[in-house]
Amino acid sequence: MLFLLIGRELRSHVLTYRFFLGFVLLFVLIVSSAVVLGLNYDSRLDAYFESQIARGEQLKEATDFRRFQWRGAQHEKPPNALSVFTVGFERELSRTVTISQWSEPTFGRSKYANPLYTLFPAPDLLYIVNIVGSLLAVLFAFNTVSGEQEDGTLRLVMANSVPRHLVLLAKWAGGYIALIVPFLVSVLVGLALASVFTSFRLSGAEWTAFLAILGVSALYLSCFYTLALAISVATHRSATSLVLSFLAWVVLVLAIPNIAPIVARSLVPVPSPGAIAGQQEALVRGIWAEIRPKMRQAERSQRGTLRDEARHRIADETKRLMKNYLQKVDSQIDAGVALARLSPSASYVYATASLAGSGLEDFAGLRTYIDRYRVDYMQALRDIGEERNRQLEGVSDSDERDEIRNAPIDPDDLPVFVPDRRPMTEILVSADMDLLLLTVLNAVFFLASYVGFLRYDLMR
Amino acid sequence: MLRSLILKEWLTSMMELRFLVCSALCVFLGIISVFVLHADLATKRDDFARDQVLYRNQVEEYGNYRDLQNQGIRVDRPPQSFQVLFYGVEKTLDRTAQVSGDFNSGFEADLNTNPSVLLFPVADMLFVVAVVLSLLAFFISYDAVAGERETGTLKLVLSYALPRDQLILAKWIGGYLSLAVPFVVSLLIGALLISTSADIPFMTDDWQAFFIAGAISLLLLAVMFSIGLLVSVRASNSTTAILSLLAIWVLIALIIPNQGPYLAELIAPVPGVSEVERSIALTTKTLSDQYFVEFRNNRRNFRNMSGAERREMRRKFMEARDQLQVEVNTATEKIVRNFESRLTHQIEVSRLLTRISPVASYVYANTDIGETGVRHEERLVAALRTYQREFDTYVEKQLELSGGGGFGHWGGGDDEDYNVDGMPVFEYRKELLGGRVTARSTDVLLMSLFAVLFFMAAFVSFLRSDVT
Repeated sequence: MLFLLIGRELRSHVLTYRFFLGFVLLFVLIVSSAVVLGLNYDSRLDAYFESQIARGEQLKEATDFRRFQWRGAQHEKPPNALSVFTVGFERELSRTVTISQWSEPTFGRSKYANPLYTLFPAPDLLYIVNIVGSLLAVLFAFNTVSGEQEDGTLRLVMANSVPRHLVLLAKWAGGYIALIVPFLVSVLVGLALASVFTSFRLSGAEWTAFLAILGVSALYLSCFYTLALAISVATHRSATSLVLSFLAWVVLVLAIPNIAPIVARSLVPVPSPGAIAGQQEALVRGIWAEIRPKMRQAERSQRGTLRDEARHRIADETKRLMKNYLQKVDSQIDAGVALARLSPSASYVYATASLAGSGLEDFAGLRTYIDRYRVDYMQALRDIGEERNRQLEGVSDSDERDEIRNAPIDPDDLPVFVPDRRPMTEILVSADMDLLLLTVLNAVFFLASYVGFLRYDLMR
Repeated sequence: MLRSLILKEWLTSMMELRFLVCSALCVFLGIISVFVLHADLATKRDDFARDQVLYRNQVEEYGNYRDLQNQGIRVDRPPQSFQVLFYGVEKTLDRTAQVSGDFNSGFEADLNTNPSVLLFPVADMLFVVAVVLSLLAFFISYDAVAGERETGTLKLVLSYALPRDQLILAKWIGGYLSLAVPFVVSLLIGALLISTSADIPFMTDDWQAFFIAGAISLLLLAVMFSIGLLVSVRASNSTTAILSLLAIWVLIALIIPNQGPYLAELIAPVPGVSEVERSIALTTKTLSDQYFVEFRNNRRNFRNMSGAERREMRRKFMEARDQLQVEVNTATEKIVRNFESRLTHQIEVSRLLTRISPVASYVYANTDIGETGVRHEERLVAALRTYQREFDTYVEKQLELSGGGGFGHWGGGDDEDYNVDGMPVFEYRKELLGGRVTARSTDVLLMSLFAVLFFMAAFVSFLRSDVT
């Protein structure tokens, strides 16, 4: 019986102009987005390989080891293949980071140099599902019950010996299949075209993440489909349910997530990064100003100890300053996330960006990775320096000493800058609240439609 | 007659639930966005004022001009009052620049910041009009003709001695008013909030820009309403009309403007930022290698020199270092300017591609008029570079007056006469309103053209349509 009803619902959807238009729209948007962003990924990948080659050559041509330590070197992470479908914070994460011995790491210019990238959001799968997909879900469901009630067909169906819960379940399943199948077909075609025409390839863990993104997208679309179904059950005219569904969609998709981060910035203020960087510099200057006179008066043999003491103090106090500051930043981020989660759209964006490796946790993770990498990098440089000092023992000719001291650096002696992709279990743990919220909202909306439909007055 | 018809259309709209919902959304979102962004601006302005004092104090702590030249002064991106309406490029994380003796390529981002705002579009007035109200325009217009055709009232109305041109004109004016009036109300409430807030320093030209931007917003709504009316005239029923309009909305409000920069990158590629950074690093290295080789060679003889010889050698090195700085700056500027000229071309290509969407034209026009667009970004970086030159000239002059300065803390210690009272201050001067409007006249003209074209198409289609 249920399958019969689902089949009927499915056929009634598939034969409509709405289904045709929804299919065409999703297909064109998802496929064109995958190809365009795939080509963009291609050029970023080329640029990355070129920069790696150039970095190797730069190291080989380095003629002043001390200056190399002081000036530092530029590093960048390889482009994220999943950014073809979910850009997230990739624009920020892909910036060059300069790491040097004596100054804090700095971000380079954005790879997305065109300022129009700031003005308009990326047209990726995340954006398409978040806005267009949810709107289509609303359009597919808004007249599921109220439309049939208006036409009088609902009364006709219910005149047969069909349990109401089966009718509702069939309506949900039939409409949802009609929505999700075009979506999946479009994603598969987009994936295939991006793989054929660009360098886009997914590794094992990325495949899992990609499938999880599809799963979360399906859950999110179901959330809006079920919400519109609940509204349709609560009304007796399709025009009313359309207007109310549209109102809910605007508030949940366009208003709440877009306002929340700005509200959080006002609710939980933090000092500007410029002020903190300034405080950091003042701290360094203050410590050196204190130590420097001592160094001038100290014996030559004690100067090294004083220098190390100053560096340790700088490291400790900078760490304390940054810890306090980052705690405040995290509180601000948490407040924004908590506010935005009033909308399933925000939960979807947070969960999907996390799965793609370009979410909030990945931005914070890059900071941690850079700190860790800097320690390893400096250690590697110290090891190289010590090795050269050992080679210098017994060499008296100054030209020869210079040659040894400033010999080219073997790139293999330095650690590779590749921020790790977080394990899937860790991603799922960090996204558990969003996944739970989406699931709970699905259940609540479905229960609301179920109860509403059981009590639905067919005679009105 | 026309007045009665307009009144009838207007009253019909007002009686509907969707009018209530649209008006509520329009007013609610408009007020909320101004209110929230006003709080954000107040925070930014406080930070900016506090940071200015902090940076100045830090400069005073240097104690010598050589350190001032090397370490420089921080400059924050000045908050733009218009961000309460059009957030635009203010969303960027590139907020602080270190102005020193080095050539400045622009504002830089910080790792230790909250990036959340980049994950979602900001719900400013720009977004409310370009995305929400443009969709509401379709929601109000989709059944203006198709709906009446379905219910049969169109046939009834046309059975009277009513000219069709007046009827379609009345439908346009009546329907448009039901969208424009709530928008104007929300705009006026926004104006009231801005005028009563001490945190939003709106001057006369800002108010002029505000009303011009409001007029451009009304123009966009007119374009969208005309498209809606055209589809409503052409569609066989209101369901087909609304679905077709939603597809059109997705394309012109969400997809075309957003895909523009990506397509422009394929059509007019620019060298990668890494490549530019590498070129700068390589050029700097090549130039400074020459300096350091000479420095190292002479350093070996340092111990055997007399005091006078040492001073002379130090003077020469300082001169050579200053010369190196000039050469590095010139080379860097050449690379950066070459990159930026190609980037400007890419931006133009991007604009050209996306202007087929009136929403893109609207975004370009209003962000530039509100000084939160690409034009503002370019002018801001130009102002920063001008300031860098002023700063450099000032420091050079002070170094000369103080006898050439030392090597900073490591060399000669503090300058006794170190005083930065006369140091130039970074000031960003707004572009005159006339210049901003002229720069975006193409976009305004295009929108006007679209509005007329789509209305004419709806008009002609309605005159030729078969109501039976």
